[in-house]
Amino acid sequence: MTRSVRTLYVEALETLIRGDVARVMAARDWELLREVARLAQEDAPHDLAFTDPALFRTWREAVTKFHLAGYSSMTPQRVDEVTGPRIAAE
Amino acid sequence: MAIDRDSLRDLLQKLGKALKKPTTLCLIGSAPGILAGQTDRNTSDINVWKPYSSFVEEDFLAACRKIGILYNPKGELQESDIYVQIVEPGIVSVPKDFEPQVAVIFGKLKVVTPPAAAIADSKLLRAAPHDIADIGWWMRHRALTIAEIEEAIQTLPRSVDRETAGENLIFVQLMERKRP
Repeated sequence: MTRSVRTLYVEALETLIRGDVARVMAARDWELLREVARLAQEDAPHDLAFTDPALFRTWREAVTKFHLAGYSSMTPQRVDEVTGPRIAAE
Repeated sequence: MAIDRDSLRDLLQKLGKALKKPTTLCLIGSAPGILAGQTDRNTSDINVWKPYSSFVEEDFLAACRKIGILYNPKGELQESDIYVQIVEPGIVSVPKDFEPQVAVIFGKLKVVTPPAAAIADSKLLRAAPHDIADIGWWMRHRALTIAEIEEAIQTLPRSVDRETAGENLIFVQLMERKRP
């Protein structure tokens, strides 16, 4: 599945905030999973605290839930390693 | 009706009081995780793995009726129904020869569960989103490793299930914590 960078970002952020990571895994949508993992790993951008405090808070809470759910090891690098070089090459 | 950890413990406690004979129930599915502290999870059915359970059917049935839950319903269910499902080997596959873990004892009732690796294996077979989320929870909260899960896969009774679980190990690989 190939999405635009913007679409991928929006879908990944929605997934992270909804706590819907397992659904993306079950669908084996590795492209989206990698982006979700990236957003969780990089955490909410600090600038967002000033420009959109509500989203900043929601994003931070979603990252906490991501870790509590047991996904801490699921970094973009891990997704690449496990799902193959296809994503890494994109 | 979905029941959470407190409701499930409450139900089992009532069941323990209502039973007249010593009873062992081996719970599978989502109930073991809920009992073990998975707070964001709930269920409407309590799945009892028959090969590792021991009960007198009339006594169990009467106790279920007394506390207002359905025993092994076969017909249509209402949204408000809470029920016990007696699960036998067949559609559901659980690793064989495991050491049951005691979860709780309430009165005449002893509740046991398969070990975490065996629970994870059963969930890998279906690998629906909530199954994957459950596996993540067990890995995080029971320090479950991919090696333990792989070992348990080898004890699944059917080769087709071993193959499916093996294919779905990718989900475990994604979530596994690397140890130093």
